[in-house]
Amino acid sequence: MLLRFTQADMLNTDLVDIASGRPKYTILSRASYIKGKDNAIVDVASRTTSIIDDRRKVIATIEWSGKEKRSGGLIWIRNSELVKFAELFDGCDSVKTVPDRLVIPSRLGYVWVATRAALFVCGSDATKVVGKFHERSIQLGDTVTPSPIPKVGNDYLEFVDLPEDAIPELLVGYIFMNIMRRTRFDLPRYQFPIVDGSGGGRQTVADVYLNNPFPPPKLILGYSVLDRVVTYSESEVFTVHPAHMASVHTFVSNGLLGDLAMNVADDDAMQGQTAGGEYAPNGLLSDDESQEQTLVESRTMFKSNGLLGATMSGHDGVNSRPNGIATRNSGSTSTGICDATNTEHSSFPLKELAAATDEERDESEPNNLFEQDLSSGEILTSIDSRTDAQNKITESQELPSLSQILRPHGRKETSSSSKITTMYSTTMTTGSSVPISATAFDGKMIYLKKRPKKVINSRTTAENQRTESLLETPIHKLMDQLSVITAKKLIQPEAGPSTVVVSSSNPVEDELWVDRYRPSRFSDLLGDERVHRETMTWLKEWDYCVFGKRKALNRQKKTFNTQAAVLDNKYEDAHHRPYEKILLLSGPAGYGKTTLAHVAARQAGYEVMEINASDARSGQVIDDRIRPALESGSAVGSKKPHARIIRFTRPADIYLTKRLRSICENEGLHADSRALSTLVGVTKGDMRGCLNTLQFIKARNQDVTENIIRTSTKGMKEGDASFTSVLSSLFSPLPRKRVKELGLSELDENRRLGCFEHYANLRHYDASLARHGKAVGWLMTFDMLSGTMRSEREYGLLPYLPYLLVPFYPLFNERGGSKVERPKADWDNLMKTRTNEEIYKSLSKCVQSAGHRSAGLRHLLSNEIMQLEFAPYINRIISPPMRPVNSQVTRPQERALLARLVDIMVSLELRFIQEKAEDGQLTYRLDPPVDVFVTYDGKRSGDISVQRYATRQLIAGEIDIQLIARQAEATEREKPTTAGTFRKSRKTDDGDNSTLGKRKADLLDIADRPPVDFFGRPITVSAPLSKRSKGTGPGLTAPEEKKFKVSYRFREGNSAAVRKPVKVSSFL
Amino acid sequence: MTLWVDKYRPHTLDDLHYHERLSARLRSLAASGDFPHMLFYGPSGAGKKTRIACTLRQLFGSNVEKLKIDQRVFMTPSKRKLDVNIVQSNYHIEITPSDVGIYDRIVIQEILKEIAQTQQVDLNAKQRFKVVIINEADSLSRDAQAALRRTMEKYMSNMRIILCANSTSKLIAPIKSRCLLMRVAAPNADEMQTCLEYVAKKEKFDLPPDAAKDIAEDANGNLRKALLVLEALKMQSPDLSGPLSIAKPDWETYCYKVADLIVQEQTPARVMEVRSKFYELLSHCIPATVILKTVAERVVEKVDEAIKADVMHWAAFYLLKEARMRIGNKKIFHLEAWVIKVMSLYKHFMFNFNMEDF
Repeated sequence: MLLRFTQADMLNTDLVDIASGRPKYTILSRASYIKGKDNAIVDVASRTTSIIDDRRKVIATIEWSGKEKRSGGLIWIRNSELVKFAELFDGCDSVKTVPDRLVIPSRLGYVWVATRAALFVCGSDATKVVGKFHERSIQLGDTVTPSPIPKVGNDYLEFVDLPEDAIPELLVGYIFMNIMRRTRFDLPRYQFPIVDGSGGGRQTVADVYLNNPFPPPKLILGYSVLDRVVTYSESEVFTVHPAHMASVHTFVSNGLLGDLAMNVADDDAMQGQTAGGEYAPNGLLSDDESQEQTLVESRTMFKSNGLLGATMSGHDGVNSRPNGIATRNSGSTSTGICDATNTEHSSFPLKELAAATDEERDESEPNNLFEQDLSSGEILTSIDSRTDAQNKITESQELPSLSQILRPHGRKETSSSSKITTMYSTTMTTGSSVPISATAFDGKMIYLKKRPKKVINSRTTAENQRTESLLETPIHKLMDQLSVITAKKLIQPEAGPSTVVVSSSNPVEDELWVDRYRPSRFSDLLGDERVHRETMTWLKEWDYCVFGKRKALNRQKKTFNTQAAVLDNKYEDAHHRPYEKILLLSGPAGYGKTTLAHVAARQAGYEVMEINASDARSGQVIDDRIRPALESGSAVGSKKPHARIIRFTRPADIYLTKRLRSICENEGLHADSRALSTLVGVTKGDMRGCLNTLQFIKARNQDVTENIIRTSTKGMKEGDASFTSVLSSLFSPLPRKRVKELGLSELDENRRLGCFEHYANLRHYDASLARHGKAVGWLMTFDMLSGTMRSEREYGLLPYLPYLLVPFYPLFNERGGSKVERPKADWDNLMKTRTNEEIYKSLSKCVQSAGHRSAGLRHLLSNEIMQLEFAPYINRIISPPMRPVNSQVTRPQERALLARLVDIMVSLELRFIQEKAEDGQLTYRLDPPVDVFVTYDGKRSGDISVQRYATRQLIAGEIDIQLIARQAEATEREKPTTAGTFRKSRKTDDGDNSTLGKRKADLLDIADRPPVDFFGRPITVSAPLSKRSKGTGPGLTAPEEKKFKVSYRFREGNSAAVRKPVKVSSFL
Repeated sequence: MTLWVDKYRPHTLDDLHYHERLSARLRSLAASGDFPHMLFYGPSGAGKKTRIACTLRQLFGSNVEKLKIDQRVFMTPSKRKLDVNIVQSNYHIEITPSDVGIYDRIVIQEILKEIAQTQQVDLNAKQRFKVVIINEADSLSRDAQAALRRTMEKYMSNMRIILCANSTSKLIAPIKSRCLLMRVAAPNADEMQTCLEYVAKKEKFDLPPDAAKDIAEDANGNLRKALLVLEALKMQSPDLSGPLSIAKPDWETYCYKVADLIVQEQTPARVMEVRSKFYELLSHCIPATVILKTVAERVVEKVDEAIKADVMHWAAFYLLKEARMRIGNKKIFHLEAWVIKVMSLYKHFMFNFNMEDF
């Protein structure tokens, strides 16, 4: 069996069986992409490749995996389980790496061998080649030889003596092997085609319909070609998976083949796909160079087909193509969907064509009849070898409309197109089921499948002829049909597969009812109309500033309450902005604040920028996002912005119920109004809650009864219950059920404290205190559980905590119990403890610094010792009974006591600080206030005498004196160092003196030495000279016999004087 | 000049007043050159730290008293900063890891590693090793104790550890087995009296023997407390003559009040009253265990013989299962639980008694 690839892209190609000349297999790849900004493809979300046989059955599917989605993932092959990539190749993870070849066993016993130039598969004995891949080859008869010219030729796949069953697997194997071969031998890697099957800019019809029940008319026009497909085969289009829609695109955009292709779309979706695959690559006249991606391909092909196209093929000129045909059909009288411009354009080429044929006749140039740049400039209309197509279509009796148009030209052409080598292998006969096939220039076979006769088609044809429009149904009718379909779909989603539409294949609702039924118009809004109007009024006040329209403001002034207008006049600033710059909408959840904001803004013509404080919590983020928005205009004025506060009130229940009923009818829910009003009551008017509940109910059953509402709203809004209400319900008799409900919600820390604080107030007459004992037992368990939970981080225990408080109910519920208050004693205690801990800290700091001086004290630092022993006694130590008398006149005993006290206080860094009390009285406060530790219940213990103000003043004074003395002492202590330097300097002074003395001595020595003459001989000196020198000797040593005793003291002070060595004698 | 507690703290083993045999033993240990890890334990105020300091001096000489105090910052894995005060000399380092609560393990690990990996650089040092003193070892968390185990063996060549604890019950067995246990018992009344008299003599005042006896008895073996009381007394009434009223610490007095309240009346209203008192005590940073212990002792004194055991049992139940208090974070629950238990016990007892009477 010899199979020819019709495309270079092996993942999007047909495999034509050469023997039968029919496509045997089709390989199709689809991918969905994750798109970033500018619609650029960021990542591949999924990529699948399917192999379809000629019976339109999918026989194998490859799910690509990996980050890039280009390695083999899950593979499904007909009649087998899903297999992994490795299993396909006999579970081998690693490959034998012979340098020049890649040998991999396959699951069925075959062995794949890949070399740089070839790829073949051997039988299990590895001798017989059962399959071979011919790359870029030419078929000569039955054999295939490599093409002598590079880039020419097709790829072929040859299988010998293989069971039919093995082929799918081998095809899959081939795909992988070829990819691996390219990778292994550094051949150009296989490029995965970027075929976008869904979403994004190239939205398919299915997408349009599925996502948007009411697509704007513009969109429909844009896809008018597809609309036609829709009308031809409504059901099928919807069954086409969005991912496959690309192929529908493809074949539609073939233009010429559009009509022919319709029948393909008739059969089923898969066929539609195949048709796309089939016709697109074959094209009518596609040249070999244009082997790119499918879509591009089809467009190119369309261009070459272009003769029949309206030659408007821009990027999204889809709509114009049929128009073009339509135009031809009508012989330049276009009607239907063609608008004025289209008519112009589409009638244009007709003339051109006429001109071109003339031209051609002159130049006798068969190809490239003309190239015409149409208005857009980028559209190349290459009417290439048009006669081929023309002739063919002329022959085709199935297409009377087309032949009709072409007739005038066709006749001319036949005469002048003698050089064209087109041949028709098959004569087309009306009604025969033989496919039409033709051979193009390059010898490619083209298969055109005939459209089976169908009523609708014949009608179409008739209509076509009658209206002379390609769209057999006027667009408004199409629109009507569409809206009927969508309405049906919306109203009766449960109607089952018999009624067309989606439900059979994907009944999953991807939309919340809340979103679906969100009002989109101002008049749809529910609730207090005044509130809505007020919001709108405020918004309109901006109109003059934003849009520069005075009119709107005036009208609004007339229409609405004038109060705003008055305000407006009063406070109008230069920009005519309203007085209040910010609008604050407040109200409980689900009353429609967001909806109102959106609707009103849209209504007033604004674009809505939303900042959700639940995502963007920091001021920075808000700043970042609002500022750019404001940058263009002026920001909020210098004045403090005022906010207009609009408080939401609960919409009247009846409106809510009414709206709910209409929604229920829409969704096919049978709801009685009793149930609905119950629902509204339970949710306290929260529309969102209502809708969510309804949707929830819908998921299970069709009927909405009161009971169902009750059960499904159980626990709703429970989190709101204030804890005082929880506490009071714990302590007062209530239905048991209520208590259970309470247990379901999470009780916070405070609740147990609440329990703790309150329980002892109750059941005063319980003799044995047994209840209280039990209660405390529960509390302790609670404490231990929560403590363990926190320390061990076992937060799984959290749900069990609340249950530990439930026993309080049976123990303590009591009619007419006192009111439960928010627990605060524990908090007070905590605060007090904190304060005291701080005091302890400062005290220990004092002790510590005292410990610097004497090491022993720091042993007191340990917390417990400090708290239990040191704190009480230090207070007693520092508060001896003392008379507030002048320290000068105290008895020596008292003076000693005072001295000791001051000493201790100074060393512990305790001070008395003078302060003015609230009543203006001066007091001395102990700092740090360690006296709190002997003060319980605001009273000091009796044995500590209370020091009066005067006493403290006395002590404080003494402390100050002591501190000054200590400072003096400290400076005194520093003295040795300064004195040392002085001494040193004196020493150097001495040194100088000594050297000086020595020098002097030297001098003296020289002088004393007996004078010698030039030759060293002693000179006898006269006696009086020596006597005189002797006399000076005692004179020099005179200071030794000083009469004064000198003592000096260096006083350290801040003297700017220069210190320099001075002889003592200079002071004398 | 500072407090007497500090001023008359002995600095050498020879100066110690009591436990002569212990001192002798320490002296010989210090001299032997094979100094083990040690665990000093005994009641508060018995002189553990004094003995540790004296031993250190015996080991390293007087240079060990040149201390510097610095604050080190440790980082927990959760990026929390811990400030720890460290007292150290060239030869030893003293830490109180329990200051940082549950993060003590990090402190222990960091410091020990640091010490253990550095060798003694001072060539004149008498010993090759450094000493790490860990105060309040009994409040070390289990993790921290586990962290100690291996270190104690591994770095034996560079470091000795001296643990100081009130009781060994909370230390894990592996730690205990690695240490030489040194029990420092509380001094008896006579010994304390001697100390007090010694101080008085040094301070040059007369301490009447009766007063000394009273103080010593009141202090109940806690010499530090005795000295503080002595100083307080001396400040309050300089001549120390006449009948002495030895002040109890205020919290103790307060606890007694609470005990009286419990015994007087057993109603829910009283429970509330007691609770507020407990709050007051707790807010003064008195540990809940101490509160419970003190109150329970007082209650036991007051109640009838028959239920004494029960009262104590329940106190022990809540006290000894101290884990309860440590695990939970609301101590007041546990205190109150005991109060209610005692109240209901007492009520039951009275009720039964009355019924039998009539």
